[in-house]
Amino acid sequence: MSYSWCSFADMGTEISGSGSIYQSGTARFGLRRRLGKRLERLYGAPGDGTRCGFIRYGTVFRYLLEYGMAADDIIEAWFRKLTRLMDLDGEELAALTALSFRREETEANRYLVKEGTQVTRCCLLVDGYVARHKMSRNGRRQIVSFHMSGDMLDLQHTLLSRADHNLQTMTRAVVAWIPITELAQVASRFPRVAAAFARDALIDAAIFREWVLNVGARDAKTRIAHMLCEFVQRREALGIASVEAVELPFSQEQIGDATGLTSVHVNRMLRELTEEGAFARTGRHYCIADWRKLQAIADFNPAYLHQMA
Amino acid sequence: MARYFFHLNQCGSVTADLEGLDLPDLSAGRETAITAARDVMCGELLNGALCLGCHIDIADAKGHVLLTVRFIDAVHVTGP
Repeated sequence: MSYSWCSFADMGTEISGSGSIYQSGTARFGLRRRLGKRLERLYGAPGDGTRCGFIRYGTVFRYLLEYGMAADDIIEAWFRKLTRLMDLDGEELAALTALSFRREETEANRYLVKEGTQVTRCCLLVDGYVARHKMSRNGRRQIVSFHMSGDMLDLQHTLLSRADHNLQTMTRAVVAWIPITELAQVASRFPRVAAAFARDALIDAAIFREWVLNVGARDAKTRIAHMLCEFVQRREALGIASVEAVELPFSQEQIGDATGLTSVHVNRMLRELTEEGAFARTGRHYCIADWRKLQAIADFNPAYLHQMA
Repeated sequence: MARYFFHLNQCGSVTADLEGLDLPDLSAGRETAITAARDVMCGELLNGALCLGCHIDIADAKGHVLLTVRFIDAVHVTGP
C-alpha cells in the first residue's frame, strides 16, 4: 500500500512525489472529479491548504480527510480490511469515511463489550489486540477469536443488539466507536457495503469453525501451532507485521485460554516447538523462527480464511 | 495478589515458567498447579503415556520454591 498527499486544488492533476500511486486516465479522471464534487458537497468548498490523500488498493481509491474528521489511523485501519472484502467505489468510501468515529485510547485488559449487555455502538480496532471470549460457570475463560487492527469487532451488533460474548483488550489499544444506527444506515444505502459487512461476518464464522476443529480434534502442540499460524498469517495479510521475527502479543495464559489448555501445559508445548526450531524464545518474549516448519507442525492450510490472509 | 511461577519438572527435565501468574495467595497457586498437573497428564494420556513421578514447583519471583505439587497427589488412581 502506498499513498501520497496532494492539495485539494491539485485534484484533477496527476499526483507526483514519493509514494505516488495515481495514474491519469479518462475513467479515473472522471472519478476524481466526481469525488471532488462529492467532498465539496459533504464538507463545503475547501480552502487552500485543505489536504486530501489518495490511497489506492488495486483499483480502489480512498480518501483521507485531514480536517475535523476521522484521524488518519482510524481511516487507515477501517479501510485496511474493508477494501479487501469488497471493491468499493468512491461514493461508498466517502460515506464510510464520514461516519462519526469517536476515538478512544485504552489500557490492556479493558472490557470493550460485556456479555449480556445491550450494545448501541460498534467498535473498530485501530491499534493493539483484542480477544473475544466467553466464561463458563466455573470461571474458566475460553477465547474464541483474536482481533487486530482493521477488525470491526462487533458488526453483528448492527443486527443483534444483545452481546453474547465479551470483548477485552489484550494490550493497550486504540479503538474508534461508531453509533450502530449510522453503520446500519450506510449498509442500507449501499448494498455493496452491506455485502462487505456480511462477508466479514461469514469469514469470522469460518474461522470459528476452524477453532472448533482445533480445540476438538487436534493435540495440544498442533492446536497451539495452528492458532499462532492463523494469527500471524492474518496479521501479515492486513499489512500489520511480517510473519517472522515479530514478537507475539500473547501470554501463556491467553494462548491457553484460546486452546483449552493450562498455562503450564502451554509453556511445555512452546518449549517443544522451540526445540523443534519453529520458535525462538528470549526471556519472556518469543517469536516465530521458522515459518515453514511451524506451518508443517500445525498442518496449517489458510484456505478457510477465504483470501483474507 | 502476588505473582507465582510454575516450574514443571518431568523426571529431571525442567520447563521453567518465565511469565508467572498473578494469584490471590499460595492456596490459589496450589489449586492452579493441581489443575495444570492434571492437564499435562491428560496430554500425555492422549499419547498413551503417563508419568506419575513428575511435579510442579511453585516459586516466587526470586525463585524460592514455596510449594511442590506432585502429579501423584493430583490424581486419585484406582484399579487392580
